[in-house]
Amino acid sequence: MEWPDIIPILPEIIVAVAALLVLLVEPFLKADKTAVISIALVGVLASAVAAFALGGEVRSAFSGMIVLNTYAVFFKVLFAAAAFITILMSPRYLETGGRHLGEYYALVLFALIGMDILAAARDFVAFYVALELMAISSYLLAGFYRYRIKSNESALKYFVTGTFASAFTLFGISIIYGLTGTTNYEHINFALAGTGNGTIVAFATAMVVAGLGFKVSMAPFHMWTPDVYHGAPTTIAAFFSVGPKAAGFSAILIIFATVFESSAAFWSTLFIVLSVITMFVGSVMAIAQTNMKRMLAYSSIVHVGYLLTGLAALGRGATNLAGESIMLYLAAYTVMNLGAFGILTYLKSQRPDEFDYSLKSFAGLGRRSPWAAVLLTLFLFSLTGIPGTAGFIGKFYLFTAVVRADLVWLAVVAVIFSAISAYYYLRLMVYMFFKEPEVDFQTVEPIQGTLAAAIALSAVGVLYIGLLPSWVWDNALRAFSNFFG
Amino acid sequence: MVNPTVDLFIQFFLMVVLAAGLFIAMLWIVHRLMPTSRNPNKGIPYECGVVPSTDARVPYNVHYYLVAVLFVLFDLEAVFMYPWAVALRTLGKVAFVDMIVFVVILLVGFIYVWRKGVLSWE
Repeated sequence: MEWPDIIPILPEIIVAVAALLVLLVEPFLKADKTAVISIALVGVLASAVAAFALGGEVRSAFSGMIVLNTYAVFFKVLFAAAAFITILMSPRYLETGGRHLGEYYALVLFALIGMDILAAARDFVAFYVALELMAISSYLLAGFYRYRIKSNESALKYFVTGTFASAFTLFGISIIYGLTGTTNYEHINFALAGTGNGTIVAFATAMVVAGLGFKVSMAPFHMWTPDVYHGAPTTIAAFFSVGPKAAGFSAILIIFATVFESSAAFWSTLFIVLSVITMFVGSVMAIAQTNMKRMLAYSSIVHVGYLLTGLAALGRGATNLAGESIMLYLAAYTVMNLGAFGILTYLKSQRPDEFDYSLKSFAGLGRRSPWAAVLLTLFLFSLTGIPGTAGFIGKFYLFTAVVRADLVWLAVVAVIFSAISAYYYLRLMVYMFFKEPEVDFQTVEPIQGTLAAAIALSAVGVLYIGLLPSWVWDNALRAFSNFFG
Repeated sequence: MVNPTVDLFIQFFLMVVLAAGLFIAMLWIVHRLMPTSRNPNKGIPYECGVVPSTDARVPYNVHYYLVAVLFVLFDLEAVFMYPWAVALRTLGKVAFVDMIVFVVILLVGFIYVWRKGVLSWE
């Protein structure tokens, strides 16, 4: 028996060691959790550096189940950034919530391992194990405030529906395995190419779409999103809205571009329909929200709708740069959404009892704490897609890809929905700057400590991708060129 | 001519239908044939002939649950170790290192559980 090659999973091993160290150190600590936070941050950073350093050449491990290449590295660095900002955001918020426990950081790290493997998996078995690792950590994090009924509701809804959705994915995988006798993406691709199993493959495709669509909260599988985000701790809602979503898309991109390549015409049409439904449902519901946490949940559904138009374009041919645009959009979306949630986290930690995320509680924020208001405005501008911010660059590349795939009408629909999105984003700004507050509660302290670092990182990311997108774009181009090599 | 793979699925479906049908039919036949005598005493749970004093659903210490979960965890660890121990000579050094890693991870969990006070019984 030979020694297994563990170098390709070195980033995951680093995160795993950090998570175990957190669990080991946590019981010996009193109220001060600095040690645990430092271990978690160092682990996440080291895994990103390791992934970046190893990304130069293609490395395959465990009989091709895991492949570390530029594609996996792009997502690993993105997930590490999301986890890093989430961890920075959390301490103050958890302290004011009265449940600052080290297990929180361990769970975030375990979820990160699942996400990392998801982007590197080239086999349905590794894919499913990674998906479940990510999901089970998420269920626990959603219910982290276990004395609050809302948090329990959030965790239970996420768990029951999430398990159901996973079963759908598994059923789709079992059909593919029944057809081809293998779980390896590449082998399935060879086996399915040019066969006459159209209907069955389409059925399996639909099953996998349903399961993964749940993870990325695609309509009509989006029902859990607002409730789970609403009940979960705000920092965790921030993490859910970017991490598992980007991980879901990393898996969707690779599965649909390789495994289901032969049925591209079918799933391209499927994604056109689903993207329009998703954008419509998300927009209509986002307009109706007065709770900003729920509004951001629905707005995240709209962003998934945009990303699905890119998937529809991907099914129409590989030359329109749709996959690369989706990756760039995910990077942009990660920083801007984390930033917006970061400001909500700050406001909640200032007034844990009074602040209820309602539109009214934002009135007069521009005068009370101008920094928070200006930064939130930046993130909302980016979410709307105003030039100069990451959101604009992401949308520009994505919709250009859709147009290149001869889906001009779909791009027009997406632009219309993004114009509608201006309404519910700008309404919040109107409240912040032009409305007189009914109850004038002051913020106790300025944005400081690790939370300030998290928000600053997000803001720098938004401006960096918005003004100088070439570095991220070049990496996305290099990453998407070849999944297996 | 049906696609051979589709044919397999049809065969499987037929098997499921037949199995379910057989199951329902057997239940129905037994139900029709068996003699019935209704008596409220038959509804009482049998506990060595003693008449039960309270409802079975009483709240009990959550510690039992924790210990049960931990027992399952460490029990499965042993199940994993037996075949490993038998086959260790043929598997060689790699398997030995693998098991060390596995046990160290479990050990971290054990220290965590211990320090959190799950094992102390007050």
